Amino acid sequence: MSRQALDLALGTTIIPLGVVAYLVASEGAVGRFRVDRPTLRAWLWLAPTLVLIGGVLVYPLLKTIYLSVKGPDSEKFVGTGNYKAIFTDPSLLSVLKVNLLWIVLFPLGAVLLGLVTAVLLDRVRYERIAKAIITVPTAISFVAGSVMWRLIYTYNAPGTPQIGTLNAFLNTVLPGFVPKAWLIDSRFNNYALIFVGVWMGTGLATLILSAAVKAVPKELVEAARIDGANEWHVFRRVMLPELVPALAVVTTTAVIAAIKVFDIVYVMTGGNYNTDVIATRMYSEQFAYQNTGLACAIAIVLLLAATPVLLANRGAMRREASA
Amino acid sequence: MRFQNAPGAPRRGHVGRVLATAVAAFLALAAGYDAGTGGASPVTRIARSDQPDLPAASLSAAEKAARAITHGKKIGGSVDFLGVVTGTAGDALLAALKPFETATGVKVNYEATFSQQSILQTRIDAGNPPDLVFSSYPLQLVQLAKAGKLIPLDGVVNMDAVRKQYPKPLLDLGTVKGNLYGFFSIVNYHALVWYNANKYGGPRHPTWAQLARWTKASAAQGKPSWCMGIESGATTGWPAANEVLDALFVRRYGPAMAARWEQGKLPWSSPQVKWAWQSVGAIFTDPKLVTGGAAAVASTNFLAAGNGMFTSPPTCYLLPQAQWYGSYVPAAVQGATAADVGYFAFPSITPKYRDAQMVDGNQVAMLRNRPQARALAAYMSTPQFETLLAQTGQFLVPNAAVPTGAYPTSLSRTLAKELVVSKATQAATILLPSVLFPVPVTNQFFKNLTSYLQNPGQLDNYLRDMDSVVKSSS
Repeated sequence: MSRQALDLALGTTIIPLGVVAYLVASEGAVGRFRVDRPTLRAWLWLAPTLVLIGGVLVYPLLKTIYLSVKGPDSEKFVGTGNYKAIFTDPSLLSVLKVNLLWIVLFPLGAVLLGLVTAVLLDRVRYERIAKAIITVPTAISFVAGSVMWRLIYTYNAPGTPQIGTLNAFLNTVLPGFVPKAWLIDSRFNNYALIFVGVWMGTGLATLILSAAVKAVPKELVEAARIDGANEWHVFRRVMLPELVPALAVVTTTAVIAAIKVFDIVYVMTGGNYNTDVIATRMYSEQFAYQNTGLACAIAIVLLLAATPVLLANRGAMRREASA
Repeated sequence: MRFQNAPGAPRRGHVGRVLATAVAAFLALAAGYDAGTGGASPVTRIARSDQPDLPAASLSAAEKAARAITHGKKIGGSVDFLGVVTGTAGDALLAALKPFETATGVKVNYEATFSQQSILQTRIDAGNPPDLVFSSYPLQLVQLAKAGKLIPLDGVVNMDAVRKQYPKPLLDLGTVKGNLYGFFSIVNYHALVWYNANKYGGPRHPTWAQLARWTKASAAQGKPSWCMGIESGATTGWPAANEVLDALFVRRYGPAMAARWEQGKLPWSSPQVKWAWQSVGAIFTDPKLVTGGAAAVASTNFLAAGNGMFTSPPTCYLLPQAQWYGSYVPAAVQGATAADVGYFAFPSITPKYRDAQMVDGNQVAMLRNRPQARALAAYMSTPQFETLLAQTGQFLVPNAAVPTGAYPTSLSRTLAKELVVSKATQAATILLPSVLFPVPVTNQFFKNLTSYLQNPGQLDNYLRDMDSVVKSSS
């Protein structure tokens, strides 16, 4: 029997049957012991899941922490050396700076644009079509979207035909425009990358915020209008307070996405030209520079940075659900 | 017919994934898609389709050679074979292995991966190595041989024939303590300069000084001579490193000095290495010498780098690139035919280093001593197998017993004649320096060279950084 057939059999029958057999056996065992049955039963039923989570989450996490205090080849103990490097090495500091730019600008762009579209589209008849168009980029994978945008940002030497859509467009509408190397010139390449993120992230923000806008009680808005509030006041004093829980969910989700952004940078610049972010650097430390210790330390820093936002995100989601 | 060891068969580590990306990009481009993301690719099992048609006489000669190895016995069973060659080139490889399967009844389970180096190491650590490997990492093979993980091939292949038919420098690269552990059966030549034979009016076999005079004169007329594009996803920078900087260094300082550089004995901040960087920078940051200047060099994909030679009027005239480019052009560049393509060896600087040939390629090595693996290793060393590889039009092969006429195009015949068969160049064959740096060094090399072309003023910092990477990876 070939390896694949064996794997298939393992996945489709042996593992499920094994779990069922385990549960049947443990049920039999529960009956035999004179202990606190509800508690024992709960633990027995939880055990397979705990083993799985222990194996694929807890163990790798502990191992990563362990490796992060070791050198590149995981042999020599270096203490906090790798962590120190992250916050002192100039090239790693610049990575943190770029990531900070993402953390500020990406949520700002995606949430603001999402909010504006959600609120404005609520007032037009072609809302569904417009919303569908805005959410299309969400359906494109980050890699595919990045490849598209690389073509849009393509640079050709001044005086030669401009193949990149953006340079070609600007060349046509602005007389005397000098084509820009959008992804290479470090004065604006990070903004060009973040814009791609915003382009892909706005759709999701719009969807969530649009649902929240619909949930704002109509009577509230009408009452405000009857009382003489202008449209700005209706938005600012009536709708916005109702949207806060949804905004919190969208913003924290966007911040997490910004902390761990990888695909866009990896595909579009490969981290060159001062665009490296934490996740791409983690990848290159491991696979290009074979520095397992530093890569693991970066992974832990990434996790620690994302955890508070993740907790805030969960809290926001719970509030949103109960709102 | 394309003919190459697909844009340099990948070596995810030692040439720093350079050519991995090259292959990925090439395959994607062949499918009409602009690529260069250099993403990690999973292991792919090659589907047995689209295999090239090979001459019946060669196929039966290869079957005969395979039968002779097993003394006419159908030994059956299978052999696990891990390689990097994939896509069209992978199909060609399988087609050349087919006679072996027919003759011996051994099924070849070939797996191709761009992460060969790490997958091989992982499988060895897990006690599950493949039987044979078709490796792009000569340094890794040497390390594995020293660690006792490889089976010597001396009693496996016909050593007398192998010694006679394969260039000694290439065999030396797979020899550890007098035993042969790996032999190249595909080679890829670097340090060539390509031009459009109808448009290029400069010297055809110039020295570096003569070429510099011509490019300067051309610049004075407002015509940049050089084409260059180094964009290649995560391995951006390799074309300038492998095809220009390595070549400049070897042509000026020779193989012995290059070896010192590879081994970390010659610092990157030394005047020699610095000179090579400055020479690269002087050309590729100057819009008078290279089309579009540094920004265009950085943003142009390496596959599109030479397109300007074939436009009307041309926007540039010379492209440094490896041997695969010659067959890539007629297949992929609009308006270009095989007859348009010309090349010369990288210009000489110090006369005695004029002939040094920089190569990389794929070595056969054995990790499990099984009859099926022994038979396949022996088969892959025969001229009959190498002839089939040449006839697929995908590869240059180093076996001198392969008739030049086996190659399907006139360009490939010329390349084979000048690069493979000539005794003089055989003797002067060395591995491309970039293949012999430790993995982190090669990757940092590409990255820093890329940055340097944008910030030439920071050269000393980049070189110091290289020295610190050398130190930490030794």
